[in-house]
Amino acid sequence: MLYLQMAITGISMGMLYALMAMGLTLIVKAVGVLNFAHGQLFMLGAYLTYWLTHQLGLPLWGVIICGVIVFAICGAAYMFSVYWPLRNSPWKVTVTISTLGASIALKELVQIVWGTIPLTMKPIVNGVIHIGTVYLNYQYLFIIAIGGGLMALVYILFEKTFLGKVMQATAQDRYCAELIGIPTIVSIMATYMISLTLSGTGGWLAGPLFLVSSSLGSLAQKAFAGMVLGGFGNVKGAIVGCLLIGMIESFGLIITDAYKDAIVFAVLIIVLVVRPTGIFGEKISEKA
Amino acid sequence: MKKAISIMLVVLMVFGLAACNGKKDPDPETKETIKIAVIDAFTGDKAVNGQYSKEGIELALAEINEKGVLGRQVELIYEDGQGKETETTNAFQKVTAEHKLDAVILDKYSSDVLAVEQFVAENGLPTFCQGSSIKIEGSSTKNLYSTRRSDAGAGGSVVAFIKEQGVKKVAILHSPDALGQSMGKVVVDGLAKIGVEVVSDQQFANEDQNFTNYIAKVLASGCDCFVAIAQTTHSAQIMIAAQEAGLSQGDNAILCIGNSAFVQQSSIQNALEASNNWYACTAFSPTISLEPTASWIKKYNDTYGRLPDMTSACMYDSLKMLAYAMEQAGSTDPEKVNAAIQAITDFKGVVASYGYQGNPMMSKAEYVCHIEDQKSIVKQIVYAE
Repeated sequence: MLYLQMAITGISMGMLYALMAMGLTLIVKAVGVLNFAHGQLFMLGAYLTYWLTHQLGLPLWGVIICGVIVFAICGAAYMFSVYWPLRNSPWKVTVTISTLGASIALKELVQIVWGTIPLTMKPIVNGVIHIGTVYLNYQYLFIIAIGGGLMALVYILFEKTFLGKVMQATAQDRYCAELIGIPTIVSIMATYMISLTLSGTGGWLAGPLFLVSSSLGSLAQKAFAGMVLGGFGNVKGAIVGCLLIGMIESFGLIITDAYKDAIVFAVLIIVLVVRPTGIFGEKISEKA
Repeated sequence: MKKAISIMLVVLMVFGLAACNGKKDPDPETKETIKIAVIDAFTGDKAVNGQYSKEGIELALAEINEKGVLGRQVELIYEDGQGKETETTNAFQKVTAEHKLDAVILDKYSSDVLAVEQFVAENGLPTFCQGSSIKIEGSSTKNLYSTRRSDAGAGGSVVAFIKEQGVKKVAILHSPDALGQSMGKVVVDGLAKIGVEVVSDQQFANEDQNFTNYIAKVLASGCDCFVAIAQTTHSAQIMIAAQEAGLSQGDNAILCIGNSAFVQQSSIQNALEASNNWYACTAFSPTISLEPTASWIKKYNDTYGRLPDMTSACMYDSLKMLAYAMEQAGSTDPEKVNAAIQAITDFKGVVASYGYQGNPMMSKAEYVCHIEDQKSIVKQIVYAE
């Protein structure tokens, strides 16, 4: 039964990493920038939903609607402050460095606004199931459900809608996209808005479990690992990679507690040695 | 003539060199402020501690500056160490290079204190900290002092409490830092000596946010007592996970014991009802009814509108003890102040009574608290042997 608990917590942690990794991958595909502030955007999502829930006192439906709007606005603001002014810099890594700066700035910003003491957020779904010595918090199951739903929505958006096709076109070749009349600025902005909505939702889901604090951003390390494991720049790979990281992390505890993170990164290294492009990396190179 | 000029030049040179090299005696009437550096986590993940520290030390500063020390005002110079070894080392070197300091006060993280220990020894300034590691206790740095008991003492208190409760099987979960490693070892060794079986001994990672699986392993171990050792940032998360698992509350609840972090205000505020029913061995509790602590807690609450944390009280005591030692020494000369600190046998602070015992750990008492209705209630006072 212990394995069941570890499997569920592993999948739900993997879902949280996947929400971050999906956003990261979308930005990588759209503008070719690795966003090092993504963990802090996840953290910002937790703080913003705390603000909507506990400070403005909105009901759940209000938090969901306003949350999506606020995340989207923040995504656009993030793009215009961190990416857009530096997009034509002759030094390619300028924007990446700018995201590193943004990560520090965001961390300090939330501490100025909400203080340094971690905040307690009420569970979105309250309760715990006990089966023998096993206990499962409903919140973990909720994370799996919402995470799965969002993944399905992203798939539908990119594969079945006109906006998704526009965004894919911009990601594949921005110059050609502009030639055929696609407003790439809107397309890139939409990518940032979706990316922050995914990460922000992850923060909203994680906040009740792990407290709302600036250290929430540290979860991004595993999201980066999952993204690389699955295949850099591949959304499906990012999801699979993150779910694997979550499971390895969870079951690694059976072998060792002190070195469970070492197991996660050892697996990552082994996979990259055997398959340098990650699990789904080959398909990208074929596309390219 | 030439000889006379040569003699005059030699005399002038000797006087000139003497003037350049000669140490200026400190003017007892000088109104220059006494400068004390305070290095703590003012930004970053551990900034909550820096906030409590600042509140506590500012309270002491206001009281001290009402009368002054040796007729001078005390000035605090805050430097941000972020609760990290590298940042604390940089902060220490920066502040000691930029200012002519009279003393230094460091944060509560033993690993930070150990990181700057060699620099503390080199500059000889009286340096207070709140670290409790066994390595600090064993430090040969004569100008380093802590307002805490060592982890060996706190771990010993945990073992003694477990023995009293008649526990047979214990599960331990501890942090990977100096606190978790050293106190965890003391508890494991102590339990072995009294014949209590350790059925699970786990160490979590600093980056961990999710304690569900650790607690699941504790449950599966069949223990009848759970000991957790962590910093404030993780203690609330552990208490929440333990409550969800029915470990600390409910029909199948077992004895849950934590270190001082578990009864601090910041932890209780975060864990809320999940904090109930936990025991902890701590240097300080905001519900202590003994004087002068009770009056100080009231004053703190009136000033800041919230109860103090252990770090607030330790910082308050550090500055008060430094001011007392300077008055006793009649000087801010580091050697004299160090001698005055080492002559302290019974300084009544708000955390405890302090005395120099031949090592940096100056606190002479500790409390066993129980959390009831989200308030830590003192159940026992444990005195240092």
